[in-house]
Amino acid sequence: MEPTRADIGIFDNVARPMRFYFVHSYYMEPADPAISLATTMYSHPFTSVAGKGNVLAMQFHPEKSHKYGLEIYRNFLEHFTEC
Amino acid sequence: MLRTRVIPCLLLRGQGLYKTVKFKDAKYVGDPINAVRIFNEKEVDELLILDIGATPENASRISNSCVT
Repeated sequence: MEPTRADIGIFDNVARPMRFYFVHSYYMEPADPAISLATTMYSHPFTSVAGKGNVLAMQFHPEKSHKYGLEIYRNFLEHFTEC
Repeated sequence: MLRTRVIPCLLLRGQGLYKTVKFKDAKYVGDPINAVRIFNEKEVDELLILDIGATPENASRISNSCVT
């Protein structure tokens, strides 16, 4: 998975290369390309993470993605909430 | 890039991990906690833990001991 917006903070400290647990192969094409935060290659690049403000949408399951997903949750708490 | 999903199956009977051949001749292979730690280090995608000691009369209580 390749972040298109590395400054967002959700991918901080996630070990590279990043890998996540996808269950399905559906994806959505954002009407506004600015909300595409990361793409993944599966025959062609598709948006795997979309977001705006403190709302993030991920096609994969972070809770099934080992230390990569755990770091995503940690980053979400630290950078996207008041916690 | 597509990766192969790896899901090791751990067979639990009592406090020990076992290995069977065609579901018979269970051989003790070690401590389940240690096996979980090793597989976690290898970053497996899922772990399947089966209580091979459970019976209809003596149902598995594996879920109570998994909370760690």
